[in-house]
Amino acid sequence: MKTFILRRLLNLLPVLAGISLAAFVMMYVLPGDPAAVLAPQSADAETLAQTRARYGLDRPLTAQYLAFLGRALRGDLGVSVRSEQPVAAILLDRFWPTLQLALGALAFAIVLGVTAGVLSAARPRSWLDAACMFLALAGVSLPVFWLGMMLMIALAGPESFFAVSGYAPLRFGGPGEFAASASAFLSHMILPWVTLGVVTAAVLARLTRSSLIEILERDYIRTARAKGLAEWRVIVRHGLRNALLPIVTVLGASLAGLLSGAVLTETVFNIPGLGREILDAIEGRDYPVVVGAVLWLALTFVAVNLIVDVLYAALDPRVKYE
Amino acid sequence: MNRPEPRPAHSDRPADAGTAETRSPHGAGPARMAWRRFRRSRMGLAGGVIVAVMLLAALLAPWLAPYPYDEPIMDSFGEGPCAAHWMGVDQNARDVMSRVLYGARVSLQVALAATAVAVALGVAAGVTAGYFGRWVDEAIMRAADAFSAFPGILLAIAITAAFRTRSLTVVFVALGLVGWSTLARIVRSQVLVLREEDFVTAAVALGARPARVVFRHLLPNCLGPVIVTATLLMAGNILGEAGLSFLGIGVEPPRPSWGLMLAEARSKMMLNWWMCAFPGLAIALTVLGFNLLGDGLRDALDPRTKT
Repeated sequence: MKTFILRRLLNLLPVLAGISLAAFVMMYVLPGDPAAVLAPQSADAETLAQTRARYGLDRPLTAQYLAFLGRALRGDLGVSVRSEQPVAAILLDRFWPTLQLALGALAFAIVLGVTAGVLSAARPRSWLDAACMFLALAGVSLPVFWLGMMLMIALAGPESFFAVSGYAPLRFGGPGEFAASASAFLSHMILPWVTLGVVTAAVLARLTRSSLIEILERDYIRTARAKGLAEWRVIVRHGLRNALLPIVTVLGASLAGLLSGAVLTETVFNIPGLGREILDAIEGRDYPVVVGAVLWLALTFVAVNLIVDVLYAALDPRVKYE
Repeated sequence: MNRPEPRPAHSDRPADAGTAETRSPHGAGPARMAWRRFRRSRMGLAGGVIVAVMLLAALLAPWLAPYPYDEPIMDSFGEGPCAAHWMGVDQNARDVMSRVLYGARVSLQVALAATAVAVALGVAAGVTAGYFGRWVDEAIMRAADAFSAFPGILLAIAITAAFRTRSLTVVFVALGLVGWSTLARIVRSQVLVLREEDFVTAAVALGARPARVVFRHLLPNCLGPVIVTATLLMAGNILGEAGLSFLGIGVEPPRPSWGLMLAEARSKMMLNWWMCAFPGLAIALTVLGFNLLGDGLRDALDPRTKT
């Protein structure tokens, strides 16, 4: 197991090199004069020269790349052109709402998707199966942000529990403060969770159904039924447990999709997350923030995939740690 | 943006059109057999009808639209759906139904162009990788891996940002770059199998040049999976265009695209629900149509894979 994780980590090196190179090209090679990008927009010739010297833009590209890599490894992603704050601090601040949004949506998707998939697989070709699968197809066909808008129109408002938009952070000052902040947090987050989670729920429902149907044809399921076990017990304890493995493999990609799909949901609900920050940065031509955020998300995806791979190997003894 | 899953490598190949399995007693060709199978799929047919209606709406928008899409109607500001305006009137007093019809043109044009880019790039890359093998294959497939490692929407945003200008071209090129890797993988695996077939060996032995082998023997046999994937990509690209336009980095006003209409409706939506409801329904219905059509075509063109 240790060597498996180590090997996976070593495999990551070329991937990380590729990602950082892409980020470097986007930042320093494509713009023409990167000094004009890094300096404030009103900069005169002298400030541009200073910026060039500070970032070593007069040196060869390979040296620049290595310097960029060195700074990135130390957590120095540059300074935002708009707010002049360090990019790393901005990203860290904006990442929490996005992560809360994505994890909540994932939880919602797992509960809804797996339930629908199990109901479908338990009675294949029944009307319930047809209804679940049609809803799943409709779920992948909806523009998520439109769903968010319609939910907001239908459910949110000044008199409703659901807040129209915005974000309320959790506070951990004391039990009273926490309860109050949690209520505000939920009133802002439930609709975004549903909005963002629907597509993933639909994907998981289809996957659970096909995986479970295949498992339910196995001999040990017939044995379990022959023993006289209750049907739900057969399906959940003997069937679903074995059908979960392919579902675990897509969870990594799902979380990555949710973290980046959050851009649209954050826009609809005005949540100050990472996706919103990227878009505002693009709008304001703030390339240090754009590149930093892309780099940060890429690293997150790589880490999530690694965790899922390890989890998969740990869950299924048949997977060899090679 | 959901990319269609890569599929296993096999489909209807005329290579085995002569066997009892795929040849009907009446001597029908593979295309006719596929049509016969497709006709039996109710969902696929429904998808085909939806797609046909949407394409017609886009083509005939100038004749179907009851009002101009870009001019205010003087006496009806912010009105809901009524007899004169079935889908209501937007914040600039423009008829929403006319804009939805014209929006079909822009949305479908962008999605078609994006799909064309993805198909051209993906087929070229897949054939090259599969036919030449070795380091060419390795290089192309690692590039495909890199492109598919990122979720579509983020990749599209990053590519749009890298262009540093905004235009319709940027939008469909960005979406095309998101979609090509799926096609490349499918075409490559298809070519890898076909390359070993006797009819290809025979063509090479007869002195056919690589270009002839590729265009005459390999590509026609990849057509089925490419059509299926391209149909599913259309669905993804319509969603993609809508998403990018909604975020303000896609189609620019005053051209109405469905995503752009949703973006414009956002500030007034709590009061004017119809401005938001109808463009979104148009997107959902069209995407559903392409998804159903794609699934139906998959079953019809490839009887051996059952979904």
